[in-house]
Amino acid sequence: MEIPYIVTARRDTGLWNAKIAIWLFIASEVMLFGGLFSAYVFLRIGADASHWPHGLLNVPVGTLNTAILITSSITAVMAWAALKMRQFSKYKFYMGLTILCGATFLTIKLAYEYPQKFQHFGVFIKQEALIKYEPYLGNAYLATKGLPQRIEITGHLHNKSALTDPNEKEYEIAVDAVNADPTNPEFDRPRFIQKPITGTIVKIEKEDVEYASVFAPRHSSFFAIYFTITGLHALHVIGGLIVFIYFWLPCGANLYKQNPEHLANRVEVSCLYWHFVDLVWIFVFPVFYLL
Amino acid sequence: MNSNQPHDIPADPYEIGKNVRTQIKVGIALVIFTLLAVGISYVPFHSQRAHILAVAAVAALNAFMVSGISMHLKTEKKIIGQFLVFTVVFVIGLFALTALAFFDSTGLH
Repeated sequence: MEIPYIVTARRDTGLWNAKIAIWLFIASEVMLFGGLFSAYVFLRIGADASHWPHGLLNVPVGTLNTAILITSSITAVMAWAALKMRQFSKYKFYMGLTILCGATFLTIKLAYEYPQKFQHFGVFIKQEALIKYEPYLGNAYLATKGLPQRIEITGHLHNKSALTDPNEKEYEIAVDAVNADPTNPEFDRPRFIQKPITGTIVKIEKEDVEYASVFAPRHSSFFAIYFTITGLHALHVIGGLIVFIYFWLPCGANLYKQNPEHLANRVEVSCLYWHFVDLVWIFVFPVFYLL
Repeated sequence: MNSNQPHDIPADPYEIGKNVRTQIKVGIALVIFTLLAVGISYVPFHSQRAHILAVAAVAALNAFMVSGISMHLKTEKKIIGQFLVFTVVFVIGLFALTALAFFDSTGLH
């Protein structure tokens, strides 16, 4: 049985099936991400300033990823345009570029940014012990400037056995530049280029620790919502790439031979979805990296 | 009538070319505005609210360009706008609930 209106438009709506379907799907996706962003707002406005980290994400890398995703949107449209003009080899080229851009975005996110976070360690100091670690927190200096106090010392954990061995009484951390030199005015605000881990090793007694964690979802509300939203976004990128790869492989060529307009329509709705993925990232980037 | 007649006629190259040029312009504008948002985020504003508003305004402008121009929402058929109204109402409701929960002081002393 032939499915009607996969190429031509219905008379009542003026649209072909997939066009209506993709917009309904996008509408449901807006609600999904809308719910998550409202959760972000709720967590953010309810969080104490000391508990909401700033400057932990790599802004230059995030900016680069934004540019890559925008470029992939353009090449996806160029692939569709090539199909509409029946230039199949051009379509293959631009679709290949789109897949490459999407894969690069994912590689940067999942193989570079995420692992960096999982290697980073944060120790939240108990309120009564803050004074003991003042040389690494600089709270007296921050108070004079009216800035929120620091309660966390971050860096790379040297003695990883301290996480499991109850006989180890201390965490040994090679601290971030902000904890090595906490009264340096250049750390009053997040930096564009992050400074590497310093050689300063700080020993923190476990009994002074409120809690400690790598930069994973359990670290804080910030990382919980960060990994939820960026992880879901990455899943959407993977979904889009699977569809693009399917159209790029011989299945696309076969459909092109049978009915080129049908393939063009399929690519068009995929492009709409890809633009939506782009749109979500346009909000994710400033919300997590810049604010 | 067969509703799935094969279409072997290429589209008008002028129209398609115009569409592609628009998409490229939007893409370039998006990159420029993203860089602007990054720049704004490092400007020392006196209040956190002004800082958030400035960055959010640039993000909203970018979102308008993607949805309105790249996704053709501005020129799309009426029916799509009609069912997107429900989505907008839902999202506004969600954020309104968040705001209500935040400003609700019932039971607080």
